[in-house]
Amino acid sequence: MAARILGARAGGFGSFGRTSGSSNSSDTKGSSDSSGTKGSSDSGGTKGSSDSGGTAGFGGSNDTKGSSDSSGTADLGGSSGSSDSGGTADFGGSSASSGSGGSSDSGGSGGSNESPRPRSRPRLLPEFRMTGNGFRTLVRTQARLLLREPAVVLSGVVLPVALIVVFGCIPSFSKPAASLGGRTTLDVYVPTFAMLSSVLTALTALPVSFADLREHGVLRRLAVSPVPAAGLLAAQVTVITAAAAGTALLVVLIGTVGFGAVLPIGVGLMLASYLLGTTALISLGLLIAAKAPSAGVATGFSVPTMILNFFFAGVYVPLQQLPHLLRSVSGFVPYGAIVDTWSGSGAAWQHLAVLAGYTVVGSLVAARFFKWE
Amino acid sequence: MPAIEVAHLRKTYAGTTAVADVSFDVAEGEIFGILGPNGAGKTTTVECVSGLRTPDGGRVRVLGLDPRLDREDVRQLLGVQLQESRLPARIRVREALELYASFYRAPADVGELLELWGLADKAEARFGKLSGGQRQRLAVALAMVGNPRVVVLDELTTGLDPQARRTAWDMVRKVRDAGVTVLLVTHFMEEAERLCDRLAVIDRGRVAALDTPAGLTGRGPAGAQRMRFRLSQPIDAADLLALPEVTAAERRGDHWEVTGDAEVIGAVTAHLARRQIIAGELRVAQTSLDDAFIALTSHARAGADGRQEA
Repeated sequence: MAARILGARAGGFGSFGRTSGSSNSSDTKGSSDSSGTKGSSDSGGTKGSSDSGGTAGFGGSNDTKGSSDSSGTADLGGSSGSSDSGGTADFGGSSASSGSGGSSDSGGSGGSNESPRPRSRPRLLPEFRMTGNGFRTLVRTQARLLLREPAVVLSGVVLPVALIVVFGCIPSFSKPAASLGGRTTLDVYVPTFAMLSSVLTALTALPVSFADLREHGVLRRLAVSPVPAAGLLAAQVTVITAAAAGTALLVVLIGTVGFGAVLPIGVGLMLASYLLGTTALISLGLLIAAKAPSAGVATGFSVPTMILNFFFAGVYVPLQQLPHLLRSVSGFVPYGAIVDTWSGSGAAWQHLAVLAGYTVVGSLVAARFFKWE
Repeated sequence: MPAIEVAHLRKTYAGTTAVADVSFDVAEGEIFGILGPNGAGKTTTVECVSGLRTPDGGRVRVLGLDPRLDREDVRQLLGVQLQESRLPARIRVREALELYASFYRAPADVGELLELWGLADKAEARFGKLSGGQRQRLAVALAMVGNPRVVVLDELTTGLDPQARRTAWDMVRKVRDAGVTVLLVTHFMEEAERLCDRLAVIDRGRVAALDTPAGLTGRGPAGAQRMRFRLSQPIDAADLLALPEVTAAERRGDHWEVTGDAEVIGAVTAHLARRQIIAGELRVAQTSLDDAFIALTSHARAGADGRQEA
């Protein structure tokens, strides 16, 4: 019954309470530790009391199994997030009974379950609770799998690097041009190519690979393991960001050190806009990745998204030639905001805020509405 | 506390009722089978137990926990092998096991799992290159990687050759011998009969019967016998059916198949002898779980849409 009420909206967000986890001794078999979740495992239930017997029993049986948690269970944003979810009071209540790992805890929470518990509302924010080792292994595995996809490596890494080398080797591109405000063509293209890897991987590789995993039941298998959707997405984001950042760095180094290009804006602003721009693009990609049922559908959404981004970044038609209305829109499209920042023309802080907005809203919505199959 | 508790489970997809009303308890340490024809609601039931689906009604508990609300805790204790699930084609066997092991608080040792499930020599092979039997072994190893207390195996042996199927049965016994409760979904009678301590027969989203394999067999036509023979000359089915001991008589190719009560063999052979017909190649069998299963599931069908399926 509780599942029926909560499940449709909230998925399995039973427990908030693991604020401790790592505070306990690591790996003592069958110690009375085990607490962590006990009290809280119930807290998500709208019908707290109906679950109580079961929860108490679980506390006991868990001891025999000795799955004494430990090993750095990381609550990345889980507890802090839930304070925003509108269930602040509820969360406080449940964490009081479950948190901070007193060893008498499991017994205590079993007893406290008998009384009606404060109910927590469905969570707005996704759950992100997984072992630290799990996250690291997931990142490592996804990085390996990415490297085994030749298409991704070619478009995401080789292509941008090859382009900057080719452009650098064309002599006329290294001469200052009046139409570019005294800068060289190469100067202008270094940031564009540096960003290319982010655009390609975030808007194609990321959503298409997730949809492909979904289509083939890989996510279905992961869904019955303890890995949370947000953890899966975060690991993939980490891998893609690292790959894109490495490529961008390589492009910038080749362009500036190798061919003497000059960056248009300060390194700090460049770095900030690059990072936020990449995360904003990835968040867009994640929105598609969260839902698309197949690789085909993902491509159907991601290619137009990419083309729109290119358009508003002035890749097809220079921004200066667009009508005023479209130009002002471009500041609110991720790639447009990035390019505008680099050109040094727009209000950099406004652009950065837009990019940050995309990042936060996009990734949270994606994790919250992630579909496993 | 039962390891798995399902009470009045109901699940509807876009107007189609996949599970209408399913209830059963699985005790700790047993191998519990869910048996049923295709589309009976078996997979939906275990998907609700695994927390993949939210039930529309009823109650599901795994070791007292709600699979949706206590998502993480249930997953730490429940290992699942799923139908229609795969791994990335390019992941290696060892990498897959290490990846899944890392999600659990108290995982099993990957090296031991590779040995135990006969995957040691395939540890560096990519998933895409594995045979069906090897994939199933990996699927079971992955279900066991978190040192679970309960394991769900959904149609583990579907698509396997007889040799691989027998190996899979040994695996299931091995899982249980490790002290793990097993929920086994199958549509193979023989598998259920050999492995399961108890069985729920599910048909059209409902539990048609819940018993031990022996108990279910006994539920078929009581004490029934089935005989099969070839006749030296033609005979009318009505002739045999006229005997009070005979409940069914059917001609299949050259052979007759006659079912009836405990006295049917004597009655039929005496009847044939009187008419000087010789019954050759005579074989007699007790009714099996197969018969019980068909009786149980076709009964419901006949009642529902008026056609008899055998």
